[in-house]
Amino acid sequence: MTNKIPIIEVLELSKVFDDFWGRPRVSALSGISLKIEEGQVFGLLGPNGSGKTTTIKILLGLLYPTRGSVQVFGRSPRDVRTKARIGYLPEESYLYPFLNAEETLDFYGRLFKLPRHQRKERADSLLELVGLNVERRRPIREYSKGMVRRIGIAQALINDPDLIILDEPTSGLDPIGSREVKDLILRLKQRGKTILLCSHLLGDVEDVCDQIAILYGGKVRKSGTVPELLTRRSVTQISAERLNEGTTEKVLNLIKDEEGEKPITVDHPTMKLESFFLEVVQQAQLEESDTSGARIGEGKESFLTEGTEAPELSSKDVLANLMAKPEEPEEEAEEEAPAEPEVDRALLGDLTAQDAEEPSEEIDGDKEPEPDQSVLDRLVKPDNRKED
Amino acid sequence: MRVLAFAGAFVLLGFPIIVASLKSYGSPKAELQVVLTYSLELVNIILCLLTVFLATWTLCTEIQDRQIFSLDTKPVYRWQILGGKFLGIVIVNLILLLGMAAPTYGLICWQLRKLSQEERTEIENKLLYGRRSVLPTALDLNAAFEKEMRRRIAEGLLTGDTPLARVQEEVRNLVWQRSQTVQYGYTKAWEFRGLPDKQDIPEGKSVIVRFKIFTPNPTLKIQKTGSWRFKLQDGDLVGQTRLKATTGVTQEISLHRNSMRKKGGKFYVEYKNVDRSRTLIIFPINDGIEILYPTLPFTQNFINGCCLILIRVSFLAILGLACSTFLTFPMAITVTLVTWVLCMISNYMIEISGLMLMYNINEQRIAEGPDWLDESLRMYIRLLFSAVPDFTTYNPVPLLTDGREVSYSMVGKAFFSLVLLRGGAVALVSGIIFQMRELAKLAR
Repeated sequence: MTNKIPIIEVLELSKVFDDFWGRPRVSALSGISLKIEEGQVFGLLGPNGSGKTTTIKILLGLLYPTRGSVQVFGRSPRDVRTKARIGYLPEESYLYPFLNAEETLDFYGRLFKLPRHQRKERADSLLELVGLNVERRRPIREYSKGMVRRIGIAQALINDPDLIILDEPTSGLDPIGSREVKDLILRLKQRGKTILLCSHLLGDVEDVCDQIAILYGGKVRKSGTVPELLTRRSVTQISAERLNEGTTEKVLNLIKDEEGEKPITVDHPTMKLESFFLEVVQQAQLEESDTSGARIGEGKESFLTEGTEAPELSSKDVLANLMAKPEEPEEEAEEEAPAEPEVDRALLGDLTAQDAEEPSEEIDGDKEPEPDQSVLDRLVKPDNRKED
Repeated sequence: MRVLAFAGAFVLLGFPIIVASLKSYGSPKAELQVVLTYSLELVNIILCLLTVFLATWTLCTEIQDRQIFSLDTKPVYRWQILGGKFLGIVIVNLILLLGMAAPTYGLICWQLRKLSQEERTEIENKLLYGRRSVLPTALDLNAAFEKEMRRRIAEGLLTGDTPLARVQEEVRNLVWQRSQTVQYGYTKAWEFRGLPDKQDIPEGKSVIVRFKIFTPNPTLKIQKTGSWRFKLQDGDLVGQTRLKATTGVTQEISLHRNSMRKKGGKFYVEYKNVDRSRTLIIFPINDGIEILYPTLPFTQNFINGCCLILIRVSFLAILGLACSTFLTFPMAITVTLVTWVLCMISNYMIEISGLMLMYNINEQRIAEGPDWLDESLRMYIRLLFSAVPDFTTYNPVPLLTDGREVSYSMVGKAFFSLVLLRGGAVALVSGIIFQMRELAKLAR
């Protein structure tokens, strides 16, 4: 992998917008550098006006850099061969309002020179995937915002692209739709696709991205892997199944004895609102309540999921996936968090008995004792199980 | 799109009704001329306006609404986007042209059927068959002018205070007038070259000598008697007639195709002024006399005329798309419409450019003649309007309504001049501009 060309390579990119007379007016980007490798999900974050969309437009050849170099698949972004391997979901709908979903996918499929049967096949799969199969004959102008977003996702995938650029992909989608998009991104990643994701919804980015870059004022302020950036190494978090008060007290006392007086918080974790929402909707579906909007995608995008072990997902599977422990990817990157082990009750029992059997070590006033790393490592949770 | 669909339906359904309601209260020939003139001019205007609107609207709205982003991020070259839109507009124009030209053609055929055999033959000879015009060999006016000047110099007539330029202008006018006039008892002859052989003229068709005469008082419409003789190169007389012709009205004399010998060549027409009123007869240099001979059947002529209309609107389509690559919709449609108007009047503007000079202000300046500033102005106007395509030259309507040929070579020249040369240049420049433009910047 280290010998491969990065999918996107941006070096000292600057973009200055001029006025009609050629005088510099706005400096949108100032010397940003990025490198996105194959198979990564890269998140581009930043407040409004930070240069995210400008960066994406330069990567797509819609704007030209003032200084610096940009290479996508080792070529200029304006090269037609580059564009053939990119799928782009813009922030707003740039589709033809008078075409229906079917015609839209057929039109864009033809631009990619897909043969007719393949276009039809992919269009059917994608419309099932995004839940627009029933509404496929309605013109786009009659769609709700979320439905427009869904068809936008479909058109971005029509050519089975190697690089997918998503600008606010979950904007306008309900939580189910957002979850489906995130699952889709993860499946695409498993298939080796490279994804550049631009979003204001930090939770979405955190859920799916391997690496992120935070822009502000046209510059990259921070970049790195999500665990690297978000891990608070100054805090240790322990999770366990429900403990009775006495056990809790003993654990707290042990920590006080070992670590001294440090602020400790003990409370019950809350589930994510998204998970709770999905539960409620799932219940409603079981009761067979009707809806006129988009359906939950059936996940039948076989041409996108070929080669992966991911099963076809029904709505039940979506929820089941959420409830199950996350699967570890086969080739684990170094920054991936380890799987959460089961609580070792015997060990906890040992811990609570320790204070009676073993004398406490004399602590040198000038030196703090080393924490018992082996115990703590077994108890530390993976990052995607935050309590808050 | 819905508006365009309705407009197209209205045009295709309403047009035949409009054409069928055209009426003339003159001769059958006049009625057909009315149908041809009004229907084809209507087709012309509708298609030109529709093309201007469509060409500017389609690309401008795509850029404005940012649908061009979705297009440009696909593996499509930008010239393909422009080319695709151009082809689409041409196809729409072709469909509308067929839809509007067919009722016109059908109506003419239907009206012909209502006429007697004789009327039909006459109309076919004089109107519906495409005829090629042969003008008389041009007179060498410069030689006549120099001859007259030498005579005046020799006779000592160039004295006095009149400036030389003024005298020269007067002599030029005199020579020019003499070349057009026939005094009582005198004969004027014209030589025609390049007429076809007898075998090249279809059976049953005639050769027409068309002329128009005036008297020194052009407002009067009176009849004047003249004697006509028609001769071949070897002096053989092939026809003669004595005819009363109304002044100011175009008239025609039919000659049988047998008047043309096997080997064509030169043909002479003589006119003798035998009118008892002894009035001077004037044959204007430009359209005083010509010979018309049939070349194309009506159907082919009509199709060629429709091709000319299509070529003109194709140029407008290229122009409209070109303006849209860097202008907003209101500006693009304004520029395209203005250019269209300039195309319609360019020929006229070049013709009158000589009059639009500073030295025409007063008599003293006229006497002095044009100076360098005047000549520069004239050259500037000519250059400006030469760059703009000349739609007048390639307008099929006056040709079809006058029974003239819309030749294949004219169609070819129109295609080369309007579409390939000028349209190609415009397309190339706009393609380069479009390629270099940052589309995301245009759409802001």
